[in-house]
Amino acid sequence: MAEPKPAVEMAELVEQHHASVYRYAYRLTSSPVDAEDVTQQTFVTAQRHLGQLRSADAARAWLLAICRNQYLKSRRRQRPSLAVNLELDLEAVAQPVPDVSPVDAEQLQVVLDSLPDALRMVLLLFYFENLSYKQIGAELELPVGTVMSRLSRAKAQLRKRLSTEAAPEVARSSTDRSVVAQKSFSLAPQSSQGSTS
Amino acid sequence: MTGPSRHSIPEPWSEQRLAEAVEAVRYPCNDLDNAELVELAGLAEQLDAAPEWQQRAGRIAGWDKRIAAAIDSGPVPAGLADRLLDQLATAEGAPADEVDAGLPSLMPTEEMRHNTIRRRRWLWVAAGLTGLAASLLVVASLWRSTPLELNSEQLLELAEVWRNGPQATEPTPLRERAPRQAFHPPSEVHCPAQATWVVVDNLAERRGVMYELAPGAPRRATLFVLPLKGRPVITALSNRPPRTPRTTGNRASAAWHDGNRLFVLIVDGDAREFRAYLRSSSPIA
Repeated sequence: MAEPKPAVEMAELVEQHHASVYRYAYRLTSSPVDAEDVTQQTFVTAQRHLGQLRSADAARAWLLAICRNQYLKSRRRQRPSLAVNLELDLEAVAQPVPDVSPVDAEQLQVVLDSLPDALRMVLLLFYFENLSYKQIGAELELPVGTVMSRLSRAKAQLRKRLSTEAAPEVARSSTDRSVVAQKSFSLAPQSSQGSTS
Repeated sequence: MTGPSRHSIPEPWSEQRLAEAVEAVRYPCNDLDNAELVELAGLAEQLDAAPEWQQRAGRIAGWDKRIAAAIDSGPVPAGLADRLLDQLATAEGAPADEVDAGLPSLMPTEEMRHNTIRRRRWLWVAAGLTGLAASLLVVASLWRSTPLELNSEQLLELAEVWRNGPQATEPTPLRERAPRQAFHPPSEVHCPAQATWVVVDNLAERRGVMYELAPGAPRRATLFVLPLKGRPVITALSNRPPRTPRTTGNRASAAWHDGNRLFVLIVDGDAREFRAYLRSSSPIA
């Protein structure tokens, strides 16, 4: 018996969603090369299971979920997860919500990198995959209360650090990783490598 | 019994509960009307009764909008869609494990295929030439004269020479095009988006990639990715980035391997600056 025709052609999926999948992979991995790897794995996996996609409307969410799973799979292979203190931070609850100008995409990445994995993942599911806290709980197999608490803390930390990163005089107080990232982000325009001899 | 006015005033939630609920709402999705999200039931009444929380919720909604816009923005490498389509065409007939199998190559799949065809053609022509045998003998004698082993110190010195020598090709921004997966940076090293790379023709008889992690910066940081297997064999290598790099002449450097690939990281500065390029979560020797 012939296989049913997929709801969407693979080339169409790549054309329409490769940018979003790559950006999501970049947010997850914070590395352009790793992001491209994860993006490739995502589409290869999607190709193998294309029959599971029932409608074109669900394609973005489906691909982003595959992308997340590919990232988690590669992370499990690469490094052990760190023990992170995720207890409730009362300071974060009472923190004011500052007004800011539009958020810079690279600056946002530096701040996301500085957050513990558990908080970063909840934020990405919320903002990028646009899942409700209940759906996040189902995806991460966490109780709803834990998700709400993590979401609240993660968003408060994100706002706090974005406000801090925006002020150059205090930006250096971040972790080594963000210092390195900031160093390189400030190097514009890039000069040619040919003169290094 | 309580009067009607008491009924209209909701029992106030704790500050923590309100804070968590306000942060959990996806405002454009109208979560407040979603009956499945029972934890949010009554939040609208709570906000009506507490103007300061209503203002806070408004500011949070504004933030969420900005974050959501920024998070799905940023550059995408040029030609990514084409590379994906190539990869999918290759992967279509191959079993899952073989998608990435094969000898490591520095070029993307399409170029690799063309070059393979070209190379085969030349091989057929060359096979007819009597000089081929002589060339092979010369190559073989050179191969034999190569030292059997290099230790990691010698490797670092060779890498320094390569790093300071003239580059035959212009560096490629990583954002525009990445080398083949076999030459991607290790997960332990933080490789910023601005990094560039060039092909390394011959370092310790190996072909690989050299990344400039901070292109244009006064203090260079250079990462080499090479195949581990080959002659000379590299000895005295750790299987993770060493905590204490070798420091000479205001440069910190170290080499390690992951079982398949060889990495050399050279950073202008001291050990602290070297460690700044290592991911904090990575195991360190």
